[in-house]
Amino acid sequence: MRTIACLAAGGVAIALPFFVGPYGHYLLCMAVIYAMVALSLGLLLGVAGQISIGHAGFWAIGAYTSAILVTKVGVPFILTLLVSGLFAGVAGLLVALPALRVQGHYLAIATLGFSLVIVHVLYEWDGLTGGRQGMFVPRPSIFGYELMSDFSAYFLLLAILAVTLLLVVNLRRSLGGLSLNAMRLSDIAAQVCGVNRATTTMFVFALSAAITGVSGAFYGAVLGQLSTDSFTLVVSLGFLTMVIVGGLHSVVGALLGGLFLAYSPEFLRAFEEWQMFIYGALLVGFMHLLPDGLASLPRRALRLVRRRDA
Amino acid sequence: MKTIRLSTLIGALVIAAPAFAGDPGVTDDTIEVGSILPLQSGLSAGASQYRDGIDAYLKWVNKNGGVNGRKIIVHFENDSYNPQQAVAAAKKLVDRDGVFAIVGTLGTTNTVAMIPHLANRGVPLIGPLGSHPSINTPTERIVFPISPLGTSHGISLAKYAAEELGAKTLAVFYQDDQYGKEILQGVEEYAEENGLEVVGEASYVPSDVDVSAQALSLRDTNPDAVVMAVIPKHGALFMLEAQKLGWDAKFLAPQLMSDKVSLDLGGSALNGLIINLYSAHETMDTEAVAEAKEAMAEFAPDTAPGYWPFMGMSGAKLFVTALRNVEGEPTREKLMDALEALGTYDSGIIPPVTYAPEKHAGPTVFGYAEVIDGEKGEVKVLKHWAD
Repeated sequence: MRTIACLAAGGVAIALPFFVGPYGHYLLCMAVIYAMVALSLGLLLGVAGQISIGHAGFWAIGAYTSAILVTKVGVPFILTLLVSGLFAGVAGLLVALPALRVQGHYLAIATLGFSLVIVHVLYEWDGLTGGRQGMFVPRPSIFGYELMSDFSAYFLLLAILAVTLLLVVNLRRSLGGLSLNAMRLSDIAAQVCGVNRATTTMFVFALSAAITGVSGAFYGAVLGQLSTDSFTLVVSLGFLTMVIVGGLHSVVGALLGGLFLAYSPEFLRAFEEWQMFIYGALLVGFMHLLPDGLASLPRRALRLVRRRDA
Repeated sequence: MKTIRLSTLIGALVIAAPAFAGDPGVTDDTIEVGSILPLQSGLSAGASQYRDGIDAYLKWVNKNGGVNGRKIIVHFENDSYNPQQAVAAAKKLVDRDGVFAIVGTLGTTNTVAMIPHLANRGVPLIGPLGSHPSINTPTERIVFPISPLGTSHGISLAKYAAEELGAKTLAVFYQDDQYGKEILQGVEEYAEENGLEVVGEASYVPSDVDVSAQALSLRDTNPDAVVMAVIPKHGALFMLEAQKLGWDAKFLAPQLMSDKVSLDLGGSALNGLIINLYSAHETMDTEAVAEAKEAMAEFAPDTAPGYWPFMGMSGAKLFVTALRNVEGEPTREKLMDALEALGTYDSGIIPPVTYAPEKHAGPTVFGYAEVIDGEKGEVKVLKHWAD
């Protein structure tokens, strides 16, 4: 049943761009880019129980690394994805260091501080990043072929998302994933069972940051221009919102969260100056009525039907 | 027989096709354009007035018969001063709604972010208001700026201080971003070339709520004049601090500092402030200003004529002027040709812009005005840019 659902979802994802126009292709690209961030944040927050409100910093590292390598060094875009992931991953390791000592609100503040510092460094580093003027970024390319339209870029994104999904799903099922879960539930109990807290924490931070970095590389290339305004605290908070709305503890939730972040401005546009109010009301509604996010909707619906039948 | 009919039909369609192949957004009786503004952001107060300026002018044009028989319809999109949302809005307007041109954007990073997509689609961007080389000295043919370079602001203010106020030493209070630093750079350039001395510099960031330390430190440098590269809130705070300190230097700032928000915040502390004018002031007695005020009174009666609506209106006016000069069916290419044929053009709403095939430049000359009574909102024009 699960395999059929996965195949159907994959089929829909492949078929969708044939039914929407160029603007729809752009939105689909953004949804996939966000979904990758949601997957990474879901891993960190939902599985390992480590909070981060600094993921915009990892996103920025990925975006600028790729853009600089493509424009200034001439590295092929595909290769820059790996380097972006690597650089962001190393930054993730650094951020993991305070995570070994602090938890909860204090960890949130530490990750926020990291993000602000990164953005400030990028802003001030005029010669490399364009500083306050920002920088233009070429379209994504593969084997020298430039993906000029969002339609073609979407399929490359979809392929990378599929790889990321496989990675995350397998990790969650593996012994490493179980260790992360155990640490979230009780780090003392986990350590008693032989889980190395330091290694596990550093690993999950690095992996989460690396995935976010790859997403950032795509973000710059699809957008066509980078400036530090794209990596503010609001963006980090938006990421958190996305995983909570989608569903913190499931991969499906991450995908739904990505769709929510990309499409909600479209649905709310008609409400004009009421947009932010309605967005806020929706978030409060989700927290109260769907604490496990959109991913829990089918389960809840099923439960309702069973109760009625009973 | 069937083959002949089919061939005739295909032939007719091929011949007729060019007659129907107009650019997007153009019908027999309308032309649809888009405008992308930060209507929900820190700039929303200015953006909504900017929108009202565009809207009122285009409605006024429509009321007077439109352009060559076509009414102009404008679609406004909000970008929340966010580059990503700006690109989304540009893609929506161009790829989904099919607008003919973008008339009016506000903000730097958001406008810069949308330029690659508009250039890729060949969509003219008329009237972007921001401070970036890609906007003010564009290399993309589609961009037709209405705002001066940030450095030109600095030069104009330093020049006025030196030539009209006899200042020998200057201090600069600036916002620590692209906008503020470009003005600072202009002041430094002018000072170096003309033997003036910049004796003090102090900056703030937009989130600051207190600028008393900056006022104190600059007062201690004892400059003849202080150039402010500021937005209304911080400019007003700085002037209030200067008033508290009894600091009697001459203060100069860009035109933003004479808008209603600044005057309401600063009150009498703004008295004597010199501002450079890069849009018309509502007290100017010219035909263009009278026409602009008439349009505002009729179609945006709740918005007072002034800097923001006039800046918005200027882009719309350039668009309409060029569109009127287009012969035959309007296309984006013909519109850009018509804009480039304007040469140095004075709309009367902003100082002259220069659009030619090899150069698209915003204004380079300025007028000047002085705040006479900040509490009453009284501002006196000292010099029109045409004088």
